[in-house]
Amino acid sequence: MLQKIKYDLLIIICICFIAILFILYPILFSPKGTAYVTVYQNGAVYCKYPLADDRTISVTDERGYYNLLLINNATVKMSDAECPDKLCIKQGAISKNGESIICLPHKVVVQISSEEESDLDAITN
Amino acid sequence: MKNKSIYLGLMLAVALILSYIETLIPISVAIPGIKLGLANLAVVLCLYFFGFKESLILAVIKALLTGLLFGNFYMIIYSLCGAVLSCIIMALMIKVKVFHIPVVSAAGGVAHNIGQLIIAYFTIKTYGIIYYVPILIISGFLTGIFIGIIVSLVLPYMKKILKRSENL
Repeated sequence: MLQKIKYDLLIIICICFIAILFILYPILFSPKGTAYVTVYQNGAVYCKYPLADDRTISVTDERGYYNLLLINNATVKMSDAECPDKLCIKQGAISKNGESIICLPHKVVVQISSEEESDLDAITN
Repeated sequence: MKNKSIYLGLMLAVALILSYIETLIPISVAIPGIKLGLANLAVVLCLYFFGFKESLILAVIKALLTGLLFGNFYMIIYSLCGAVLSCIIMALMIKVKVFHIPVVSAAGGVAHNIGQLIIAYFTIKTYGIIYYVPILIISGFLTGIFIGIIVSLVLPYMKKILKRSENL
């Protein structure tokens, strides 16, 4: 029986291993520091604010699309958007380093990062 | 095999109906790219019956039509890339002949989601996408296993029907 499914098990173990690798990666390499909320639009940085300050951010682009972001109590959530699927609003609030809200139709990415990691991003970009 | 084009058309029709049924099932997961992928049943079945070339054509047409019917333009690009990648992976695994259907289909599901992630990486160009990789791999794996079990249940009956129509 085991002989019959040994190749199947190999593939399953490989997939699990890759998944675990990607789960561990953010945990192991999350630097400690002041958390920032960075908003990217079309891959470019749109604006950046510290997570500790409460504020609302409205993200608009040249096509007139808008997303409304709310920073409250060290959590960020998308409170309003006029994208067709509204998945970005359904994703709810995020607060941990590395977490992100992605609105695919508008190409808007909201990401929480601490200082060290944003330095790294500046270099790789 | 004679009547091949008829069966391919039939499978495309089944794929489209399954994608419609999928829009009726209200599983709202708050992460873009996660869905049941019922329509991939037709693609996996086609791989076992006809082969790589036919399945690739089926997967591409399915992605284009479901995008036009139930989705939008950006969805077509995402599912196109996912469909092509999963088709290639599954065809290779079937060729090796040592894997069982649910595992082939699970690998296909994972490949589908990874293909979508690659496109997502190039369109939004953010390194933050890496945090979506594990959840998309796991969901692709589970839905793939599910689809694979259904395919392995349906396959014997389909074979019987095809054999009967050959003898007519």
